[in-house]
Amino acid sequence: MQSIKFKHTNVIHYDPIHAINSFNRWAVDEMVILNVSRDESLKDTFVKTLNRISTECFVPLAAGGWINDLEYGRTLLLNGADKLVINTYPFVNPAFISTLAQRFGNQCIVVSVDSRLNETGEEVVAIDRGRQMTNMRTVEWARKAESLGAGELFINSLDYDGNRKGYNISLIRSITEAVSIPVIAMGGVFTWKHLAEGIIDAKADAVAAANIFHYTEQSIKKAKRYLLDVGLNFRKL
Amino acid sequence: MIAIIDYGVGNLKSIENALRFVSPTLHTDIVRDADKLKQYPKIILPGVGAFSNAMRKMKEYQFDSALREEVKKGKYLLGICLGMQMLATKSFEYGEHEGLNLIEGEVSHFSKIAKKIRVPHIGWNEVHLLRDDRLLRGIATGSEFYFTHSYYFRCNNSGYVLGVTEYVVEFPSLLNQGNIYGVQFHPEKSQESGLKMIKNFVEL
Repeated sequence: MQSIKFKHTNVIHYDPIHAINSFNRWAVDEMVILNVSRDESLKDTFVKTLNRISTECFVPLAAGGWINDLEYGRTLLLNGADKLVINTYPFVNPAFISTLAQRFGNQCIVVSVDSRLNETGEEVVAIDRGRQMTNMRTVEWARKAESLGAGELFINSLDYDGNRKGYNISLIRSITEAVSIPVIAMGGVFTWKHLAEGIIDAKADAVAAANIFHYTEQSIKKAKRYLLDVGLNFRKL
Repeated sequence: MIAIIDYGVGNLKSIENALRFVSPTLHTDIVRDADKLKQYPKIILPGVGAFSNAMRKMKEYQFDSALREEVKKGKYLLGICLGMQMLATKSFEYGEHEGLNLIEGEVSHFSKIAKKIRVPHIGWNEVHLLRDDRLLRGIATGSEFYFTHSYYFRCNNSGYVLGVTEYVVEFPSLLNQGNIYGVQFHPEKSQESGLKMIKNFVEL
């Protein structure tokens, strides 16, 4: 799915397995697959898709979307997910992070945070696929998620999603400076240089992108070649 | 035939997927009944999550004694991630807990050595091989594997260390004592190098 500011503009593949196969061949390091449906009706379909994808995916696979209870989390793990990505539900019920972390370990829990600039110029958390703004400062929520047992943070910026200008550097750096768990940067990448900026300027531990990797053949290999060429510590090709 | 031990935690499907991929005709079972371990010549002990919880579950399912029994018979065992850490004598994860004591050593937290590091250690990292082994056929020293862990195995006997990795400190990422192997990384999630290692284990 392609998106700009979290609005879906077009479907890239109707069957995600094609993309997964290519990414595997192109030496991707890790994959995140999210059920971004508007409601819960496709939860079972998502499990089936995940199951199929996992048989061909030999890198870590994080899955998320509509994880509102322990059982569904367990179902995703039994169907090939290695990590669970949670966003809206734990914001409303923060103890859910601890519940999952105690059961599956911190390394299994990726808290995804969508951030947006409010009228007073502060980065605040947006939930429900970006549809609902909150008053919680993003940095504050990131710290709280860490203290509750998150193993990683996946930070996206609504204002930068699909804008092709690169990551929201100041937002991501404010998070990496505030926590000591790994932070993954997401949102806005259009050139390989943007990926390098995520590591160098935003101090992220890992960089993620979606739209851009679907545009060209061998995309991930090209991205990694660039990152290795500029001297960054990535898995060699 | 390979048994993947299921004591109620962990993602077993990834390991099963990898075994099927490298050896489509191999008979692989996820085993919940400790008595059944007898039937398998090779055993994989996976593991994610907290040490004490995992060990409690292992005892609850009586896998601890069954596994010791089978290993004594010379069967090959591969412990992955927490499955490797459980091979240790004890762990200091949230208190002090006894392990399976199959390879002498202790499990400690990274932050005990340096305050300002990111924990968990998540991502791809190099494994430097210290000696030859059939498990490592076709795998070059310095190959990269996927790690995700906050604790590491401190092995008292360097003779058991097959490979090391550096993350702030140099720690054993690949252990071997006779028929027992332990890997701190996830071979089932480490693409080509990992699949090669799993294939080697199948062919041991």
